[in-house]
Amino acid sequence: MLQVSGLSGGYGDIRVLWDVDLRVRPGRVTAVLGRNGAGKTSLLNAVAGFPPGVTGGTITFDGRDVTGMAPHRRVRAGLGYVQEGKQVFRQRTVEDNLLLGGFTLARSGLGRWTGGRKRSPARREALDRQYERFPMLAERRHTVAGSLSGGQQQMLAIAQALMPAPRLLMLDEPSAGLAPVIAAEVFEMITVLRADGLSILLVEQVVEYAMRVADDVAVVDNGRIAAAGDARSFDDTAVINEIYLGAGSR
Amino acid sequence: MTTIWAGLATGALYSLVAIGYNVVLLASGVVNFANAYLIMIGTFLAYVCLVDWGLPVAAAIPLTGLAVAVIAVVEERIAIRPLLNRQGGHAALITTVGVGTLLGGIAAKVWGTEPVRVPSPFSAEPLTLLGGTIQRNDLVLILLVLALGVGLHLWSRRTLLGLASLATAENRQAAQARGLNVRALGLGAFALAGLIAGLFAVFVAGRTYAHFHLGETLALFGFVAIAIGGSGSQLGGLIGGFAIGLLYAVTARYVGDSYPQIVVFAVFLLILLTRPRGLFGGAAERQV
Repeated sequence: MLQVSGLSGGYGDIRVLWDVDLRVRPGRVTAVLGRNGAGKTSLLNAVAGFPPGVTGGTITFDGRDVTGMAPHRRVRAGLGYVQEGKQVFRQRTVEDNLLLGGFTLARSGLGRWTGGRKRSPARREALDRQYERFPMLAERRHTVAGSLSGGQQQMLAIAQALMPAPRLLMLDEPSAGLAPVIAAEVFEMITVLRADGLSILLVEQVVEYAMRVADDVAVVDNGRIAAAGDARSFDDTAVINEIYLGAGSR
Repeated sequence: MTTIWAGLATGALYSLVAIGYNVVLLASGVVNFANAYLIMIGTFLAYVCLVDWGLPVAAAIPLTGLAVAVIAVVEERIAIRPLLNRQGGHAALITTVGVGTLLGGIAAKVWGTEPVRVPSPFSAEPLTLLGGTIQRNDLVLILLVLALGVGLHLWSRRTLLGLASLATAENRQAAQARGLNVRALGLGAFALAGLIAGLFAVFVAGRTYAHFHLGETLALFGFVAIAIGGSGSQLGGLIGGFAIGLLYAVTARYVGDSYPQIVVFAVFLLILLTRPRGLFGGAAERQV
């Protein structure tokens, strides 16, 4: 599904990723764990096409080399990305946010310039699917996104990324800034999505949440992969030592 | 009523500039200060087409539109694109002021510093309308700017691409993550703003003549128009421009010729102090 091989990259002269290998297998949840500043978000950003710039290695998605591809093309290729911090369009309504999520479903050519927001049947179907999955969003479809609660915004961000029916969903710190009860709901949704067969690459700082849904685990430290493997082979204590006490490689 | 018509015609100029600012601002988050200078260059190019080349108006308008669109695209490539990956948002304001100054200088060098009269497509016989007189050219200018402002407003609210431009202005990275080609959108916005500036140049020149200094005046009042109306709101910019034009004309008529600028800027300051986001800007945003 997703194969990251020998990936190195950085912001200008500052190198943040060192020879990273990571594999996401179809239909599985791969959790990337690590301390604050370990390079988890940088890794997801690089896979999505955002800075840090890639200086070496390759990113292959569904057999296609996407390493140098512009971010919007990766979305079209089937990579969905929910960035950290509930990046919804706060001044737009819930429905407009979802329609924007389905931007790549737009018809090509002139129709995209003049087409009404809901004119495309594919976009309308995708909208209905998300409302079915997130009834809370359907109730608030005309609400401005900025006035939703944090948990609702996170759900909206996820629904937005699901609009074009991605084959891999990347989630960056979905529990950040949420009360434990709400974070649990978000992870409940991740379980549902996995049950539907979606492949997921998850970055999460709260090990307990991540281990609840993970099939595979990769631990990042100082921009390098410190350990990786089947989630069952990681017992919780070892993982926590690994990450937070900086025990190094196992 | 003649005063009102004159105010509306001047206001149409300011609205036109405000609309151009907003087109670019909405799609790329950049205030393109050079937009007013694009209109100024357009008036000279219209002169070249109509007088030097003797082309009919129907050919001069689209040709000027295309030429100014090309200039705007070049501006985007040299003054905006290199800045996009840098932090801090004020660099673009400086470079667009630079482009504007450059365009003003080129115009002065090529066409001289004296105002040049551009032949109007309409007869100079004024119309009597609602108890006041107005030049035909000015009436057309007012109607076209109104249609443009309302049309763009509806386009940005009703179409997916318009929505995409609002979203990109709000959160560029999030827009990219949703699959929007924000670079193409930004470039398209510059091209559109240039096209509009060029298409309207003939009618602008019909009111102001072509003059190298025109850019400065329009840039300033256009800026006041979006500050009053609310940046990022096409309707706000439209109303802001007409409001300033009216205020200017009414003050000149009833208070005295030396007061309009003082009154306009006093109102401008008052609005900035009481409604920093403008009369129509940012009302929808609420932090939770």
